[in-house]
Amino acid sequence: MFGQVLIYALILATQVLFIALALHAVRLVSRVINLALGGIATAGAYTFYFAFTQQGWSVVWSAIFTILVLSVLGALNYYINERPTRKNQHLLALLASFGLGLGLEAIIALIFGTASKSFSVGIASSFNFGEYQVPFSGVAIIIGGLIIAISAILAYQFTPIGRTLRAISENNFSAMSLGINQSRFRITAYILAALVAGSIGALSGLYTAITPTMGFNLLVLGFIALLVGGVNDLKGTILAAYFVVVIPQLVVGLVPSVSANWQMLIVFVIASILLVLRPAGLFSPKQRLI
Amino acid sequence: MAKKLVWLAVLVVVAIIIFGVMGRDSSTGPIKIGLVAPMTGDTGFFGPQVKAAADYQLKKINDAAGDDGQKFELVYEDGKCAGSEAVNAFQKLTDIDGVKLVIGGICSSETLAMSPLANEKQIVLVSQASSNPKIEEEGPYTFSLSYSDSIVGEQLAKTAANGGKKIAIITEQNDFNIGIHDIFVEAMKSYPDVAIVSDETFSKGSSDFRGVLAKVKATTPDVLVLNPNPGTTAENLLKQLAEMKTWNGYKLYSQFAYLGDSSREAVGDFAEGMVIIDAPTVINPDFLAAVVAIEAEGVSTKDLGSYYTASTMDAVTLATTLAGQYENDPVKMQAALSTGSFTGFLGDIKFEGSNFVKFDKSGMYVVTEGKAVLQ
Repeated sequence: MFGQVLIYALILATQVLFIALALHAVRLVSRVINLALGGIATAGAYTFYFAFTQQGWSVVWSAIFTILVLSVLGALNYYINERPTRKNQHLLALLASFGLGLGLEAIIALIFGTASKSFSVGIASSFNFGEYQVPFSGVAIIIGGLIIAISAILAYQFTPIGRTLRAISENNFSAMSLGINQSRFRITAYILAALVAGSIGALSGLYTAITPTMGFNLLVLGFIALLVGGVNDLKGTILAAYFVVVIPQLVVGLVPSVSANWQMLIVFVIASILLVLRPAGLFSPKQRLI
Repeated sequence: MAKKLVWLAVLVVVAIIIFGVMGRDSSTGPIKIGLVAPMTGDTGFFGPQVKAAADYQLKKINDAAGDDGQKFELVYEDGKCAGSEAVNAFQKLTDIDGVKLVIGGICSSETLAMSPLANEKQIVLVSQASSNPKIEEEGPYTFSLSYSDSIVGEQLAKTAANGGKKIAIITEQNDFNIGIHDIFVEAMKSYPDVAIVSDETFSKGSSDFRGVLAKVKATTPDVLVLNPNPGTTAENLLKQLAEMKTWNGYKLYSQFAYLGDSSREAVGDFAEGMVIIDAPTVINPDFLAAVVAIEAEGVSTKDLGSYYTASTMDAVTLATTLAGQYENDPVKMQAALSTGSFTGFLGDIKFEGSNFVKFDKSGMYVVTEGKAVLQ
């Protein structure tokens, strides 16, 4: 049973990882935790549902259409947050992004209704891995998550774009004095974040059903992963996404007297312990150096 | 400038008072009756079905009253199947619309949250569907046309105990399901040779049940009782259970959540043989004709089911009868409802001092060829 519970936990944790990475990307360039990404994840799921299920388009055309819509939403998210971010009004930017996320979910509920939707009729297909059952959609989520996480680490560490992002993140005034066009990098980061968040929305639709509030639930866990991992630490965020999801899932799945109701409480307990032990992030020093 | 703002504020307040007073004037207009039901949220699909049934019945009553007779108007508010939202809806209906009788809620969470306010404000609250046994403990102004979950929970335990020796139950964390769960677990104590090997609960509105199902599977139950809220959650739970093709050898039991055939559509034959305990089907010919007429207008009441469609229509009949007969006086309406006897699609409706309508028999359905068939 341990293996089966672990497989399901890894699939859920990877969904959270997508959102945590998207939050991390926006945080890097704007120093704001962008709460619109939950709504954008939901928008990604419903856009794909609209194209693939309702319109009957092929997977490729549905994916292209979803990417276009997500890019527009990413740009919209950027323009809404740009002004308060530039003025260092981070709380205002946080509220504005929250408003955008809630607005998107409300619009989706009005257009598609509040009942859950599935991309396909019937039971999702799966295969047996030894004694364990693995849904194909779950495998797609894990592979997608690994590709995006590894790409993000490599791009961040070894490419000129990654170096520029780090420069903006560490000192945006110095970066500006070196002639870096911050607006271009910011809007790119917002669009990339929207694509990453939206893609997990669409993939989650294959794994479970989609609902207008699905993105918010992922956003809460992604936000916790970002805080626990360290808001400026990419590797810490990736690891934390698995920490804060897999451990509670294993506890709930393996301890008979602990029901799924306790799951979020266990998440918060683990997050609190980690934040006390490592307040600046999993891979950061125990205390601030300066 | 400040003086102008003060005058503007005074004008706004005066306008609100005037319009408020005008809004309450119902001496010549129709009597307003409130109706709280989930119009949005996971159980939002109930809203249009409740509205269709209630509107149909109201139109029939208003048409029968003729040009000079007393007319009635239903004011709808969204309870979202949540206590806090239902309280907001109730306060809006009573404080702004001035209603003296509220029909609703559908969910027990809605009714249990509105009930203390109903007693405090002396507003008659008639739920057509809430079944949590705690409603019996609420004050004198709360009534439910539903059967109590104690009847369903006990019948579910009795039926499940006949199905095997190892029982597993999966329950959603909300008032309706916890009510059934508690009664079920208590009733199972009467069957010493039967054991509850797994008793799992999950948070309201969850969408991923695979971990919980894997945990239950490890206990190899003979009987699996699914106890989710109707709607999205119930459909997802059954779908993910059906995906676990390597898990066989158990019998499925449930309650109202899977009575609507659409709740089982996605899993095909998987739900064949599922035993569902709920209220009996209403077979009153006038009611069946009314359902056909409602469906002819393009709204199906299949999720609401036969009993709750009938109870919704009976609630409208009761409300209009009482409001017309007792001039919308809530104290007189409460007294009449508590001690009187009425006739509706459900048969004889009497409370006899109880908060639940007197009802002593539940129905057992078995899913056969995709339909829930009354046994």
